[in-house]
Amino acid sequence: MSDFLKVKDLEVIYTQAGRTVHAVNGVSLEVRKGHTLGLVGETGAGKTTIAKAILRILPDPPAKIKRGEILLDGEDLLKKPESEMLQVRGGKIAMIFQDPMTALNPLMTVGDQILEVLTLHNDYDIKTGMKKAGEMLETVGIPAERYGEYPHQFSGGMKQRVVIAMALACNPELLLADEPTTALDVTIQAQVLDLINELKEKFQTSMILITHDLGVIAQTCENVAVIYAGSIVESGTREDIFDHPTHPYTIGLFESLPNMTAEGEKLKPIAGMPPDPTDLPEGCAFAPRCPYATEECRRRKPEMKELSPGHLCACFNRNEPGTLKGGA
Amino acid sequence: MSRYILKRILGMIVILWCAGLVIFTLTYLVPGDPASLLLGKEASQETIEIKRHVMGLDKSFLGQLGSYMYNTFVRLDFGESWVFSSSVISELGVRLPRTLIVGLAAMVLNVVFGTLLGIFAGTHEGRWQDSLVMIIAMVFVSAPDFFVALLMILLFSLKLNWLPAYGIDSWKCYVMPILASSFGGIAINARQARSSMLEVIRADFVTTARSKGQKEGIIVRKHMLPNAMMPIITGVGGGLAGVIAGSPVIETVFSIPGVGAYLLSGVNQHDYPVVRACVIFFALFASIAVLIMDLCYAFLDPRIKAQYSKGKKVK
Repeated sequence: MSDFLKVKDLEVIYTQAGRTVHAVNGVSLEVRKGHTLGLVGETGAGKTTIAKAILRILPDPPAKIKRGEILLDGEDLLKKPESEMLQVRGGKIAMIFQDPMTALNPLMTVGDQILEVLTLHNDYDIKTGMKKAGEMLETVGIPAERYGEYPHQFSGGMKQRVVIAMALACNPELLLADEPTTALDVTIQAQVLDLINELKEKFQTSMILITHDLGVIAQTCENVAVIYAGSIVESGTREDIFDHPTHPYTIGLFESLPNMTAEGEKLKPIAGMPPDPTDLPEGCAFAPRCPYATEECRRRKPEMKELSPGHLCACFNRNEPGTLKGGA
Repeated sequence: MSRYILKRILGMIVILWCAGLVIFTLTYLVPGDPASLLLGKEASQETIEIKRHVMGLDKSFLGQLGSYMYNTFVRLDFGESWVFSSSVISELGVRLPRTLIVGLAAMVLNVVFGTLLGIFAGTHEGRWQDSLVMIIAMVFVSAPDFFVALLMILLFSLKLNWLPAYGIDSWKCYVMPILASSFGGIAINARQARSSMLEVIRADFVTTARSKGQKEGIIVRKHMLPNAMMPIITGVGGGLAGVIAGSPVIETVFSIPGVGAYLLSGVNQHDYPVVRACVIFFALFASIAVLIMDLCYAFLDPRIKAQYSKGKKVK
């Protein structure tokens, strides 16, 4: 199967008070039809920026897409005129936002907010639209009678369901889920993830799932890309990343997870802080925190190398797939 | 909801009582005997005593206060002007429309143009359109209205001879007072509208609306503006409460016999029935304006509406 979404060499900067923030630095990724790509990384690594860049809803100014291509079915979204992008947004590509508390307009009924996206992309009259919006509510497990209620009358988990209903209302081909469960408590997280998975399968939607939670990735994604300081450092199938983490940063991520089998073992957090995105290191961005860093790492930025088919890693020192424990 | 309004109206009555109490006490404490001021220096002590008795000034403070409160709030009789010996309430009735024409028209200009300019500036944040609007607003916020009024008189009355400089003889007389008193409000409102637009422009739900593929113009109208309206309404409501008081300054500059000028003359001539009646009226209109403002909030924001009607549970 061919790649449905292809992002090539995307670079996004923010300019603020004369300083340039390098948020995304040459990111390339692919998503296949019906597959889910997990995008993992720390807060501020540029995950959300990538998603918003795909939809072209970054606030400009201060954000600017400097270069790159975003190919959806072979068409470059970055070259499309704004009028055509309006059709893509909410229609072909939809987004689920991080914080359901603020993602809904507090002054509009939830039904009307779903109706809005429905009527934008379909030729419904109001009556059919309202019926469809009610059906969408039912799909995400909210009784259609609550159509006329306002966001403040819903709990956090329910609001996220509304956001999901809105995103899926027009059967998008690609769903960008930006930390859809971060703002929710653990029991609701599981429900929402199940719901997203179920609906994704029902509608045959491709998805980019942004998260910093490896557990969420394990549950939902076929492919994983690990992002650090605006660059992808390792990517591959879920098995590649979970069973053979290779990049020192990926290994660090796994080592900072609690291990349920080994008792009494201390967590190993990754030492140091992510680099200042206004002043990225010249070489590998992870070098200052990396236990394997050499002189070369500090001078030159490593390229992505294919370790095994589909498993890529950007590191000078790690040339074959690692193993989970005892990996160097 | 109707229970809420009823509660507010009862509260309003209490506020008016308090206003009456305070303004009566304050005018009572002003030094100088109104009767002797009224009769002039030549009047004999005897005449003054008779006048004091007629005006009821020879009674004790509590006695005077009691009959004032009884007359005002029970019989709804605001008395006669000491200076003109005419009924205060009918004088107010004649003057009020003039003040309202100027005030309300300025208010409408203020809301329409102030809000539109603010939205325009806010949606063009950081670009030259924004800077232009904000510089003009800054000028008019800083320029006192009497100064603007005088410049307008110089230009339109003396130089171009388009509009009369004073009086209330034709509709033309109202053009300059309305414009002169609206500029400051437009500027303030534009700044307010701009800053509350900027608050919602980056709100998450606006990004959500964009991600739905909604057009920018509709996003501004449907998502941003309603959410930015609250501070704008607060400003407008405050302005509305001030409308009835009129602008003594503008009314003086353009010689409009309105409510503001009436109050001013009352204060200058120790004509306390006029002062007291004006203050009670201002308090009444101010509380009505605030009530209307609060009802607007409820109309716009379902969360506030839910608070008002306590019956429903708010999550």
